[in-house]
Amino acid sequence: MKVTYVSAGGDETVIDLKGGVSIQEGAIQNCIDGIDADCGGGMSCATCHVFIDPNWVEKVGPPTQLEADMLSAVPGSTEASRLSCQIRMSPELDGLVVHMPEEQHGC
Amino acid sequence: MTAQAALNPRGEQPAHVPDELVIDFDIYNPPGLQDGFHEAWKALHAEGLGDILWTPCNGGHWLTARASVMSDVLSQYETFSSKVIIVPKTRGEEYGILPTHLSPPEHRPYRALLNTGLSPKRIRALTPAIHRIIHQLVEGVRLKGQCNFMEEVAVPFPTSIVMMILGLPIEDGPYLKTYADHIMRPDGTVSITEAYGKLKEYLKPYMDARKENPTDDMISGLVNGTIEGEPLSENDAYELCLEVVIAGLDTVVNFLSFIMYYLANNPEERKRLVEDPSLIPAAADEFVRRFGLVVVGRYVEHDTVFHGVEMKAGEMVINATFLPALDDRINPKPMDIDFDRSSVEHTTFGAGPHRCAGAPLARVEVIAALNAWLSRIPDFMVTPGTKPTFKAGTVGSMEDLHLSWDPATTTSMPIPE
Repeated sequence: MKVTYVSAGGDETVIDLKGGVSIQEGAIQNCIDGIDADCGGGMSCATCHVFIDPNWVEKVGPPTQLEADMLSAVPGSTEASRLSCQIRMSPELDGLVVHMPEEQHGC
Repeated sequence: MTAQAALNPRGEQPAHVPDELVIDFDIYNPPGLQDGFHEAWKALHAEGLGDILWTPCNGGHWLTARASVMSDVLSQYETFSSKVIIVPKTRGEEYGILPTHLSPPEHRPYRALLNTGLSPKRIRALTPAIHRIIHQLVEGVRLKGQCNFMEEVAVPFPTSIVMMILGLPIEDGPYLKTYADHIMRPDGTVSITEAYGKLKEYLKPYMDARKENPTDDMISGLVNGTIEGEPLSENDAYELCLEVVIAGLDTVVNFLSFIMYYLANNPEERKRLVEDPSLIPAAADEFVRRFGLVVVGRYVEHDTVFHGVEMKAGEMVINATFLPALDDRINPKPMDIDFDRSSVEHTTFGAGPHRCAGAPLARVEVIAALNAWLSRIPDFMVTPGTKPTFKAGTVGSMEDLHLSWDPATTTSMPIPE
């Protein structure tokens, strides 16, 4: 299943992910710059912040309460923000597009 | 009372626990363990059993058996805290190591200190050393034609990496591992308190030295770390170091053995990886799904009705984090290894705020080990006449895995720089 990572500068990288793998893992495992994932996927650092592409926001859905709390402390986060360690690949998300921020600030 | 019996006190079935949820299951010695660790735990998925079960063993506790209920336990930390994470509770109350017994928000700054030492950036910097160490270990056994895999490869490899990350002498790894084992898989001879004592005694001189003269190792990061601007207390710094020692010396060590046991017994699948090493990362992810080993407990903070089951404050819930991946409601034919699976859904590294901080490191270690071994020793089997022993506990383990091969079928190559 395909995911497109768009860097802050507009460069696109498309990779294949298996079901169950998180968008954050996909970036780290494929050496895509723009996602730091300092805590390795434990939702305890907020350095895997991405903006979900407008065409995919509804399908991906909103963050959980704990995730939203963390995102609210991340500079530059918007309604489209998600922590990519919390989004797992599935057939419904085949073709997903995510945009990476210029910098990962963490919280 | 024998040491063994003291380890498994039986609990009275409380009045609010319905008979149909009761199963006699000792997490430290489940029935059928020697036929296979995961196979033994799969008993919790037997036909007719509910998603949540109760066992009188180890003081009496709940068991989550299915993905949906387990992920709720691990993420609903206000109901299911990490105050006590080991059963029996009497042992668990001795255990509390930072940051495993905290919940958010207190948990977060301690976890942030661990994250720094184990981040993907740090792992990238360590990767050449990781490859060098595993290649050296494999080359060290290649021409012997046989090895005790655990002792000669599986233990020294991740142990050396953890010692490097912490900034400790690699040769002291086995000493630390002995005491980590007493904490994770007690045999009744050394109490948790004693084991902690030995480890603290060992670590203190290093921690003092790094406080004086910090380097870029993890111990320096921990002893000089701050929580909300305040320096970490000496005891808190010990506990974070202990956590890395315990977590790093036990998990990948055993995980590698399970993988190699499988590959020794499945020549067709092994051949696929030998002939096409680009499959190794996908194979590693499938192995992570299939061979998880960790069992974590949670403490019920207040009376609750959870998925229709009445639970009372103070009760313990045990979650075998490898079970959801082996749940056929999540992954079809879950006990089969299939490198081409379209989904590798798992909670091998847990879920929620305590999700394993070492997960990215573990993956890199497994991929490095498979590359190093299969490129040098492509053809091997379990030594005839030997059979590994399985052990159960907070981390499941395999001992006495002996492998044999014909040195003439091996390949020599330089050790990477």
